[in-house]
Amino acid sequence: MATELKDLLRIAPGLDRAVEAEYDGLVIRMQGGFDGESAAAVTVLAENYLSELGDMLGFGSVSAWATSGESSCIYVAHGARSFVAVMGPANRSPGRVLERLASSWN
Amino acid sequence: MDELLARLCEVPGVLGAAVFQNLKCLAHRLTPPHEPVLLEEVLNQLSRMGDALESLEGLGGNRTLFLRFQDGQLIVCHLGETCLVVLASVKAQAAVLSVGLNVAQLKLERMMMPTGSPMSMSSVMVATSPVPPPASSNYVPPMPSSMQMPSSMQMPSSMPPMPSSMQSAGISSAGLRSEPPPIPSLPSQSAESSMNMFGSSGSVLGGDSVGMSTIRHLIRVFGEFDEQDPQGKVRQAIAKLGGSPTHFPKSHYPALLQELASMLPARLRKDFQARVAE
Repeated sequence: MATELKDLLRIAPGLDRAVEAEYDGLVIRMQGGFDGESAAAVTVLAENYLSELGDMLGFGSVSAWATSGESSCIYVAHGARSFVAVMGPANRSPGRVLERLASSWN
Repeated sequence: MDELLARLCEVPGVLGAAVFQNLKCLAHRLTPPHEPVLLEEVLNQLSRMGDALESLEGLGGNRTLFLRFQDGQLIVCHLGETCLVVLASVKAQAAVLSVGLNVAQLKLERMMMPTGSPMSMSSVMVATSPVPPPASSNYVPPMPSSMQMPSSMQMPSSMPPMPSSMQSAGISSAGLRSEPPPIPSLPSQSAESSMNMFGSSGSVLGGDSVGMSTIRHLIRVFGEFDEQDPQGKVRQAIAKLGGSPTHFPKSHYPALLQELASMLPARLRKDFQARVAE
């Protein structure tokens, strides 16, 4: 059974939005008041750039990623048929939260 | 900066690290196949991805990026125009990695702190570069590490007399000059004079340390602004920053300039930093 999105929001303080979507951007479910479709679409767009990086570095395909901007942070974990994107406040070291998300998701 | 990267590479699981500025590699600790040119391409790709992400609220501006792949991790920390890139194995623990990265980021930020003058990090690197400036400057060329003092090498008779206060401080006439110094030629820069200056040979400095010639230059310039024991004050500043005259990390050089400037009257600080950068 897939992990509940509201459970994913508890892995770190401040996380308030989550969306699960297929790799073509189709939203499966979302949690928190936000435009989940736009978030999913932007995430899919970003994924296109990331897919080449693993090959360039010899690291294989992307399994999870996070980026923190001026006031927000997005954490993305990949599953077999879908991905989940969780958002919260900016985080200088998003690695730990990302690790928790990757281990909690699917 | 090399020391910063070396420390970072000691973190378990870290495969390599590099610092880039405007997508150009400033320093790196990378091993093949992860060459700086490859990471430049990676950063280019990530900057395009950043443009896409900026459409999401709050994700604009400088960012930290964590990428976990099946067989490795890539971390990019942006600090203004500079960014720290770290490659790690997939087994590297996020908690340990985060601590190492935070320390490295703080050090890098400190290195980038303005010193009161428009001197940027890249210009500091130029200032500490071992490449000698034109012969018309007062620059004292660095001594090759292999250079030994021939027994025939003597101080030129044209040297100005050394002030007694400096003599008592153990400073040789070749090490510090208070008034317009004659342009030194390499032979007059004896190993003995370097040893007299700081109690050890000037040749012990490694790649991560500020060159002895740079320290001498700093003392000479500082002496132009403060004639009272400039060498002692530079020594004091170096010690305060945890270094020694024979081993002072290049990464601490901006902080040293700031420390020395703070010893001068406020009106002279800017001129001092400008003179040092010349």
